[in-house]
Amino acid sequence: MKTEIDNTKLEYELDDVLNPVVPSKDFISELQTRLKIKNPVVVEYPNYLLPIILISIGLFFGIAIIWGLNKIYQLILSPGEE
Amino acid sequence: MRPNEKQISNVLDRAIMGDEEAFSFLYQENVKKIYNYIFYRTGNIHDAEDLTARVFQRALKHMPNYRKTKVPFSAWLYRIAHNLVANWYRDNSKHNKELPIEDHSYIESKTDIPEKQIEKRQEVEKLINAIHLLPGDRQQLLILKYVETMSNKDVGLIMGKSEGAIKSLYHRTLKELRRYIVDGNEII
Repeated sequence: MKTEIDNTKLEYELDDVLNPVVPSKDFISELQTRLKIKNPVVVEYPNYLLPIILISIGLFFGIAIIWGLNKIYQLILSPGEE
Repeated sequence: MRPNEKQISNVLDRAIMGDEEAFSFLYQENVKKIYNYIFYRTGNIHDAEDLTARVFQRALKHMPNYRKTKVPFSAWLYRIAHNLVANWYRDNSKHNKELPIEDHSYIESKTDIPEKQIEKRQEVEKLINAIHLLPGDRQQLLILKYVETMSNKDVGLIMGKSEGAIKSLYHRTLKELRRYIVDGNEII
């Protein structure tokens, strides 16, 4: 019965199963080469241009719409002045 | 021939100063240990290679901050590996901890007999899956003790615990492991 596994048997099984695994030689040498290559430091700055353009367009059209609506409102309120 | 303590200390000093050859030597000395540790924690070659590379890249980056102590250099690498594996578990928490069968094929039993291979493979899988249910420090203890065949004293140095604490943790680990194996069988 598996429920009766004692420590000795478990230790035997662990010893039987947990063996060293050997990484591939290619991996070891490739990583060693990669560690020797000093990667150039690249500083990435955020690109603010696109958000600035979008916000400017939004503001322009927003102001234009408000201005247009204001003009229409004034025309409706004072029809006799034409 | 294994380098003595003085040679290791000298290599460490040079590596701290940024000597590539010295770090390369430390890499050669430790890469298999770290790979084995990560392989048994993650259960697959792809992640083992990826995380092993990250351990050494991180070690290289922080080498100037390394402070020599009585604890072996590998303890520092194991700590980096332990943290990276913990992050890996967190990032992959949605994944099932049970490993696919093909990944276990790399873990071969010492007593494999052809006609009993399937049965043995199932037992190996059950045991490996039970090990993966253990907390990280207990998995580390089993890997260091069985894969690296370290004594309780050496395991204690790596894990920052006393020999007595390791002995006690080991017995609790066996008990918990046995419980997981028994529970697994009941489910099956």
